[in-house]
Amino acid sequence: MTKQAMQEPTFLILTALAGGAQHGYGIMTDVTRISDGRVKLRAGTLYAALDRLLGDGIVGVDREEIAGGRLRRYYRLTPAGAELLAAEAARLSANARIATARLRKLRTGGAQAGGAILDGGAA
Amino acid sequence: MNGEGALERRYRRLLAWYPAGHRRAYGEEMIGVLMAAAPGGARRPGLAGAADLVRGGLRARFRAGVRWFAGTDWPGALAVCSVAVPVILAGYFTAEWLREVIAGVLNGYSQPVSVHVESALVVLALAAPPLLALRWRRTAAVVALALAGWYLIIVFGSLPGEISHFGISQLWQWPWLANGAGISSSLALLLGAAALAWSPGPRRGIEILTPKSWLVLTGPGVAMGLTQRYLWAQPLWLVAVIVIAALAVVAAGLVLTIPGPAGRGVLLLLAAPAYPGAVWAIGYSRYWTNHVSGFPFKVFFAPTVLFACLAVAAVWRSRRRCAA
Repeated sequence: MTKQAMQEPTFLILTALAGGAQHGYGIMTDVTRISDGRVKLRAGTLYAALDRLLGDGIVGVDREEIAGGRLRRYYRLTPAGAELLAAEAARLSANARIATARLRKLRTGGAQAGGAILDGGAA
Repeated sequence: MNGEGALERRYRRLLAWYPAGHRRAYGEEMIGVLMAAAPGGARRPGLAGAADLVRGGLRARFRAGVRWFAGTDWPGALAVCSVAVPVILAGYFTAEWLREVIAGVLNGYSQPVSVHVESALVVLALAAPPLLALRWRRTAAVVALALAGWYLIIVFGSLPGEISHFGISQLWQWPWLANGAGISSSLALLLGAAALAWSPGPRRGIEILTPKSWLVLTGPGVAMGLTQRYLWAQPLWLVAVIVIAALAVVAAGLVLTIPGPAGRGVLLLLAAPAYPGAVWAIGYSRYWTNHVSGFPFKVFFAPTVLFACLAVAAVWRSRRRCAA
């Protein structure tokens, strides 16, 4: 069976936690920053992902504190989570390298073909 | 109430979409995050934020259901069913037979011997597969499947005749009234056959069952067999209350008396055959009391199909676990 690719919000949450333990609101703002404002996580999506990741042992609870009378829980990446993120980053990076190389080839080839057409037209 | 208080109250109301366990684990924390992320001065959640919470809640409930399903001891539950189904059915038919004998003695008439022989054969046929399974599992499963097949042919073969006998206009719309008990028994027999084929067997089922759970399993069938004629003479609302209360007591009894995660599995597996029987028991009373309009029988079909699909999924899971 093929392994399913990680969804982007999950990848961004794990990337945020790779920088150190963070609480829920911290993860949300960090994800927006990492994605250059493109991905804005909402609480429902974030906690659905955190619940799943906690259950799978990919993230763990680092500590809890009370701030402004409200519970604040900090999450951290587990060693298994770090391994998973590294593998996903390597997979994305390899895909990006191949895509970039092929696009470069396409542009070069396209320019040569375009040149040939122009040459032929002139003859 | 100030704007912040109103907003928090609305967020808390939206969190009701989440299962209680999820709310206990993350509720306060989520409220903190939602309040921190809310624009200043907001009194109510934005549409997209509210939709996200509803979607998240439904997904959490679905995941909780999947965890419940995965955490149930399906092989154990099926092993219990391999012995419980024949016990329930044999209890029901024996009680019905006994009621006829008692009624005959009290009213001074006796039924022909052939009727008694037929009743005895039905009870023996129901008891045979689990008894055979103590020694010959495969043969027992084949016999149970043959019995279920034979019964299905009788039930569905007799349906058109019964419909025309009772009156087409009423019963074409209400086919369950014609033989709801037959459909219920057919599903039970199929479940019993599957349980004999794909579970650790009746010995394991007997190990799991406690003396109290035997009482919970045999009581309803026997009570139904002895009292159903008198029950149907009662008004519809009373029949509905008695049937629903009996089902609730049995469901609670099964979960409380069968130890471990097998109890809830037994409950779900038995829901498929129990549901049409219960609906039929209520509806039959309405038929006899000539108040035959507006009972939405078609609405009851979907839950039976849903329960049956869940039972099939449970059997499949048990089969995989037993094979592993």
